[in-house]
Amino acid sequence: MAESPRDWFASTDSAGDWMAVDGPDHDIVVTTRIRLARNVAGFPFRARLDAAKARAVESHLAERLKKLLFERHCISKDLARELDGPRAVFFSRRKNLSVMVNEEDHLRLQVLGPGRSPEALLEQLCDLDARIGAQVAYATHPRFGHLTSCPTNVGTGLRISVMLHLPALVWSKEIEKVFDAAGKMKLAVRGYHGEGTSYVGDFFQVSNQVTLGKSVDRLLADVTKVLPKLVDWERDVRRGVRKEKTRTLEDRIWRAYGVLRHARRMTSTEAIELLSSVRLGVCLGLLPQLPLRLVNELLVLSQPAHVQLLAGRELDDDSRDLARADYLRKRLAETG
Amino acid sequence: MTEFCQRCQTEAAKVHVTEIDKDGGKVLLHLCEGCAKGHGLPASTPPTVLAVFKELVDKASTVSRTRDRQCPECGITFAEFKAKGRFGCAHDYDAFLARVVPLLERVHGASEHLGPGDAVAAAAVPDPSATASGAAPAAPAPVLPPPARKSAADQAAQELKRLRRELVRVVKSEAYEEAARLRDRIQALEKDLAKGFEVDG
Repeated sequence: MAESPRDWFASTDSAGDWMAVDGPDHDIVVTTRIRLARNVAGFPFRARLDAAKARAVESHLAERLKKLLFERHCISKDLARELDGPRAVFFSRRKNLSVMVNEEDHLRLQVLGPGRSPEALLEQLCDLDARIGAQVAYATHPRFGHLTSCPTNVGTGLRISVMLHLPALVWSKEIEKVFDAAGKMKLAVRGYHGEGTSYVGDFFQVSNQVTLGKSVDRLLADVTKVLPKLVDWERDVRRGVRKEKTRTLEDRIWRAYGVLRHARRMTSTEAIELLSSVRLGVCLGLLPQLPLRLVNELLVLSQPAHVQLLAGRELDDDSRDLARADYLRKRLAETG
Repeated sequence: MTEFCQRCQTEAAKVHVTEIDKDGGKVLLHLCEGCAKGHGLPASTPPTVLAVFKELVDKASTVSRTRDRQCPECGITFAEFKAKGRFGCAHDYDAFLARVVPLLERVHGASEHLGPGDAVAAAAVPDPSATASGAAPAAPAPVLPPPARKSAADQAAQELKRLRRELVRVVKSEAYEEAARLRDRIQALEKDLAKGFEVDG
């Protein structure tokens, strides 16, 4: 409780275990994120939740969650804040598990892990769901399952998102085929920040599009069965590019590293794009001095909100770009 | 000027029939609804296509008026939901059932939640792109009561509502061939519903 949210987010190790680079296929699969959307029976959804009722939902849940999670030493943070009504976020000590209260749904349970590890993560999340479900009456329907604010989440309330780094597929323009294939398999491919974001820095989130009419196991299988294919595909193309366009590839990677090391002003989009090239370089063994974990961290910490947290104040666009470039230079200089 | 029933002479004649007698001659009958029934005739003159349209459009516009009715719990209307994409409460799924089901079908390709119990069925579904490295997840799924199967009659009733709305739309756009097709389907469905719906798979 002593640590303020700002310290917590901004401390360099705060990125948490999910940043680790020991997950399966971590050179291509950056993270796996799974969430469950739940609502509490007897309360209106967010769209019709007035301040008083929102407070009631928050205290109803906080009371149970705190008890449930603190007792098990699972949750160490309560970042309750009054932003757009009473909301709260609970994090596990290892920071990979979070419970958000009064987001789009009353409850969003989320788990984040490094690399391709959805089975274990899902088990963890379902366990948490069962424990919360034993204390809280969820809004369910005999036909539709778990009821959610948005009908795109109804049924299981489950979204499995796997963040992939596919620079070679983007480079070779084969990424279009990935989109086609994913669409046919009812999987959504989204950009770096998820829903409604454009593709930046060759990072893509692959997730299940439907949540209703399939079991949790089936939804998991739908996502997991395509991952090894995508990973192999990207690896193949990486090998090809490395063999046939060695100089071009090396130039791109070193150029990106050089700009990150020395630039004085940088937008978040440019940072992601350059870090993407550098990440590829690290994975191909071209930048041996640079730990992959650092690159993963920088991808997160160079985002606007994090840059401001690191600076300790709100910044306008230009000062943010200056602060970002400073931070990246400093962190990369540490590695020599 | 009211024409009276030729048979009872008391009720207004509403059924007008031209019968052909044994010799091929026409006999005009003007009967009230009661006497027509006794005569083995339908209670009214077979409706013209236009009359059917009118009746159906009237029915459908009743539906479209109720379309804007509010959820009794949270007060949200379907129009409000459509504008925001977010429901107001758990009751909306039932309050707007007839519109929720097609919506879910469109989004998810399904309108029924499968409990955790279909893992076997899922595994049995042939996967053309399986790599044999198939994950066999054993994650405990959220516990939910098994979904109640929807009765065929419910489905038919919903389909009927959908068809009626569709009819209003096509009549407005003066696509009469399509309207006639819809009318036939509506009538067939109504008949099915009336005699107890049988599933055709």
